[in-house]
Amino acid sequence: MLTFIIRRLMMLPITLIGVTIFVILLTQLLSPTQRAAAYVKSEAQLKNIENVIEQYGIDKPWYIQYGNWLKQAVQGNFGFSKSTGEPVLTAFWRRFPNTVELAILVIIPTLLFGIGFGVLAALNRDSLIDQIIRASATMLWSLPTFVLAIWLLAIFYGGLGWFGFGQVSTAHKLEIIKGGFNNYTHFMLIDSLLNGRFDIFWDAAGKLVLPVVTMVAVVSAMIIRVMRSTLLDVLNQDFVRTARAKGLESSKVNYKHALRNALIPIVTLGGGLLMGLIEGATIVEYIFARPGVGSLMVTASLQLDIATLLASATFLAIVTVISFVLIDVLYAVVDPRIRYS
Amino acid sequence: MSEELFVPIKRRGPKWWNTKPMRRFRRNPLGIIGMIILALFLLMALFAPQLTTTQLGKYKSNCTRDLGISKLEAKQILNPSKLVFWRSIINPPGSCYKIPRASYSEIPTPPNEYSPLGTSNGYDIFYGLVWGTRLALLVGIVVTGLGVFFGIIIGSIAGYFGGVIDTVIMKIIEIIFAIPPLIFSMIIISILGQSLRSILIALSIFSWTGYARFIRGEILGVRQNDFVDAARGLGAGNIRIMFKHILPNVISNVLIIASLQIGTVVLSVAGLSFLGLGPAVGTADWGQMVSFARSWVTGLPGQPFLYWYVLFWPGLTIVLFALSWNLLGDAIRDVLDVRSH
Amino acid sequence: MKKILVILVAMGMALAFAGDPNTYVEQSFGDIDTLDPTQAYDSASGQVIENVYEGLYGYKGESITEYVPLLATSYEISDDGKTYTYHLREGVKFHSGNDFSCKDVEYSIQRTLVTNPPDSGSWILMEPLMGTGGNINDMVGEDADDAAYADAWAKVDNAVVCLDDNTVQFNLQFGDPAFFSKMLFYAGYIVDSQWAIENGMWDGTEATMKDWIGVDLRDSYLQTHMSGTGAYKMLAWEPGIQFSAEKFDGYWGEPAKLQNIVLQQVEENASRIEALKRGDADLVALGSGRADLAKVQGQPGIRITDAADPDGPDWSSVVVGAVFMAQNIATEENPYVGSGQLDGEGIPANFFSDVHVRKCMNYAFDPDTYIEAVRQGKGRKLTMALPPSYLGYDDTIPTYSLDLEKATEHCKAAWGGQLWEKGMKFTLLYNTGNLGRQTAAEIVKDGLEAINPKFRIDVKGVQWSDFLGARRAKKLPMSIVGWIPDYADPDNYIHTFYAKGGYYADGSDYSNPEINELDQQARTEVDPKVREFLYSQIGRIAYDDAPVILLPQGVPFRVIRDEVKGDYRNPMLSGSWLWKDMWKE
Repeated sequence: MLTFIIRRLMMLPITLIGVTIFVILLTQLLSPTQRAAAYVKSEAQLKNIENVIEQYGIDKPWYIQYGNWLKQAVQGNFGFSKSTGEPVLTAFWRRFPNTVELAILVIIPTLLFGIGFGVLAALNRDSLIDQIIRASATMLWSLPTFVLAIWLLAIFYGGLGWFGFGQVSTAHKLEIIKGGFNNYTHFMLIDSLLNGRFDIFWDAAGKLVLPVVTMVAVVSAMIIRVMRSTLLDVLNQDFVRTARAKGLESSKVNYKHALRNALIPIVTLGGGLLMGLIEGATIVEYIFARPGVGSLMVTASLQLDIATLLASATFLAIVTVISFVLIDVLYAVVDPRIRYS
Repeated sequence: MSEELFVPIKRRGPKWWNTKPMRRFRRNPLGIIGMIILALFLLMALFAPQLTTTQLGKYKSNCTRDLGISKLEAKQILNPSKLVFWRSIINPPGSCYKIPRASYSEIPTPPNEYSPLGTSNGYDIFYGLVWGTRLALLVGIVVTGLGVFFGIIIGSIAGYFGGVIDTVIMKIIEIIFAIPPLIFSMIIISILGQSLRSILIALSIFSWTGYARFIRGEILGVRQNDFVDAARGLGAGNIRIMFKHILPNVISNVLIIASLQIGTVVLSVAGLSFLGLGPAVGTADWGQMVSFARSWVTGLPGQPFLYWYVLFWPGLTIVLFALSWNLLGDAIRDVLDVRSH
Repeated sequence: MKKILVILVAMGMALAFAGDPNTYVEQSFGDIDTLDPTQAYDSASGQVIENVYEGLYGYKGESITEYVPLLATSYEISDDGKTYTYHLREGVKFHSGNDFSCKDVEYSIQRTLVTNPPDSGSWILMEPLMGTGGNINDMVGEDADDAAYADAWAKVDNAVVCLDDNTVQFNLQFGDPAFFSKMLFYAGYIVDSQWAIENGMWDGTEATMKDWIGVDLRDSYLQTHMSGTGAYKMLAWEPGIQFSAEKFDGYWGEPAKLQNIVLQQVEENASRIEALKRGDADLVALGSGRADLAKVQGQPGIRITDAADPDGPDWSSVVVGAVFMAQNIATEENPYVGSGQLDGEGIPANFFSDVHVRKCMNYAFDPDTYIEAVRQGKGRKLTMALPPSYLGYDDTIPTYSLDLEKATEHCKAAWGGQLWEKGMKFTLLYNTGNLGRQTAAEIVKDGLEAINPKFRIDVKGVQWSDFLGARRAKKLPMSIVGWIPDYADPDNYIHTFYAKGGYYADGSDYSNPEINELDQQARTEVDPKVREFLYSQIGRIAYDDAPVILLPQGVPFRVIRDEVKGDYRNPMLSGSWLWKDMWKE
């Protein structure tokens, strides 16, 4: 098992290079003028576009541009992010904790609701409960994330004055900037406690409520569907019937055997879940003004900020590969039939 | 046993209606509802020009011009004896996919004589939904179709041959997966320009990976199953094994996932529209119509539901579309599940 | 029990923090590009820079023609208009603690001349002081030797001279009547030279000059750090997230009243509006402009000031938008001109060079629909490409209105009648995300298609990068542009729009010899009365020549929390008013 993990992780650099080359090749589909668009934001600046192209080497062949980038990247210099106005790595570190915080807080409730309701629906197949759960899940899933987000914001923040958007209130933000607050981990929830500031903790937690609720609602809807469907599949399979025929109590058969096998596709779904989280996070980050990796990439894409895109691609590739490895490990744990030679 | 037990059951109707799968299907009311809704969507898409002659005759649009008739003659579209009728259905000019402008005002107007569902951002909602059905079906079917096709082929190759080929293919999938589809789509669309073609390309690149991975996983699991070994033991050739034993098991699941996907591809397009990367502004696209709503979902102070129609109709359309494909998918699974055993 | 109480109190406090009386909060989309005054050329950056840095003079309140002394206390101009002498204020300190003196002025302006970054506005000072808008490398040429650079340095050195610690002299290359107002642009703001040099910026000497010519200043210290003389000093900048500033206690003038200023980036319009209603933001950018007014009207705590109100203030916009008609389109491989011939399936390269075509376009454009749609019914037609509040604007010049008969008349006369007979087909592009431009394009199309069914125009939205590409390659038959002022002189508009050498005029290959001459005269004429006459003449000729379709301006309004007092509107200030002048009640 360990060798398997190590071998998989050793393939990581290849993936990284593959991803980043793919991105650079995509950008080569644009003419130098279009690529210069990242640097030229207004009419007035358009006058000097020749200089801009020359200066940034935008019209050099792709492998030279890539080579330059790679050389810098391995030294830890991911270049300058035009869309945010600071070095890419700095832009990343400012935003990365926000996204992770959101993701972690969302995963557990999502899995709980998703698996829980999915199981409930499957076990009570075709009953009223099942219909209600399925209908609600489909509606939530079909509802565009931003609609739910804006509604929640308008009702709870606009109407009731609770929660709000951003990371912490402006006043707290100023306090943090002016000093006396240590950013140990860059995770506001943890740091506020470490600094003994309950008020900031409460503030930050409050600001997380609406984004988390929005995401949980939408993503768990997807999980419910899949969970129900795969559990139904499994419940029908031979070995379950055999177990039943052998006289095992209904509940024992349900939970022990069926669930274990139903978890296999969920584990596969885990990868999709991760992607779903990052995408959902993007929209939620946008609406709730929580700068995160998602919104960084949106802006970078819209402005064709290649340096940031390359760095984001690298980062996401790392995250994905690691999670795929984890998924495959879980696969093996859950399904002993799969052997890795 | 006495003969009385074998009393033939009289059935009415054509033979195919009475085959076992169809009988099961008919017993599933939700599945039937799904089919009916889908049929309605299909009809709406097919007869889009006929349904919208009022708008074509009244509002600013180049559709009639490009069809070769004047605005005043728009009613001719309703006449099956005229060429225009057939042309508008089978091969309408691109300009017909642009929603006519009722006005230039951004502020929505409620349902009236010419706009049965109202207008948002100056665009007629009814027209957008009706013609948007064509787009939704087109995108859904193309993306899913390509995905299934390439997914099965590539996934089978990977799962069957294993070894190096499998590793390489998985690597490629990982590379594509390494950036969330939404983000990658953003990059691709930013580069290729906003158009239906680039959206199709962007979404198709992802759709096959899921199927491939799934099929490969199934094959890996089944490959090690007893009955495959037994079959091999009996001398069955490799390909035969694949086609006869593995694929049928897998295809049913694929069909279910595919039916789900067709219904939800339209959500991805909506997400892209929200970020400004959907089809050009003014195209009859459900996602775009929903994103028009973002400014108006909270109405005006004191009248939060003033502009309810801006969100309600497109939202309902998307939900119904996704729901009906879901129900259809469930029904298919019920049918195929029992059949495979 | 006690713990719960503590938590409840903390919650209460958190809730009560909405609307801090010591802090001004503004929420907008769009990013600050740079904090370096020499590099900045956008209003988001400008808003911050104009409050943290200062120039020698500033605008007085709402006026764009009256000034207050800031870092200078008086000035003289020589008779030939080529020498400006400023007497500097004493006892001024920078945020770093360093003292201000003439050497800082010399350093700041020379840094602008030396670096002149490619996408900055430094050319504005480069022109009068060095005679050219390009940077020094462009000036000396490709194979320049050391002597050429030495000459260039001599020019730089001589352009700004410190007569003593408190007197600075500028030596211009020509008598530029707009120089004084040009010095009010960001590139003319004074930077803490000692602090800058200590932190790795150009050291101000000839020896290192070559290393800094034309560089992108975004890679250096002043991109993210500020030390100026303004009433506020920078606290922190998290790019893309927030900029915060704090009152500077050592300010030379009357101290600011508000302790903290926070500019937050919030991309979603709906969120911003909620924050405004809640009081968590004092001013927010309204994504849909006037169309958003209904969402905040009548809300408690929000004050709306609208120039469109009969009792409203007398504000006028300084944005000039126009539809340009390219007179020499690149027709090779150009999908936007159809066949590229006057055959009814396209338009030829010189299509718009016939004045009848241009007049036809002008008469076919419906400004009232535009005002209704884009300006929510509150708009103002322009008589020339110049803001009404500027010297030289003449409102007696006629304007074009929708007149399909006249349009038909001119289009029939165009190209000897061929246009009318054969028809035309081309594509109008606008850059996506800009609703106003999209609507303008559609109105142009509607008008033209209404007069002759053979006129076919397609309207297409493209991304900024594509738009740029097409512009640069001169492939756009028509393009919709908007200009906001760099400095408060009519030259900034008239030259740009109408004269050969002007950015837009050249972009459309428009050149009218009469206008060119008048423009040259006006640029170097010192007497404002004469200039006024000259510009008015240009306006009249432009009306007859119709090089562009002028788009009606919007009528300004402001939506802000009621607690904020002391705000005003100066169209030349990126942030409309200076932070130091406001307070909260």
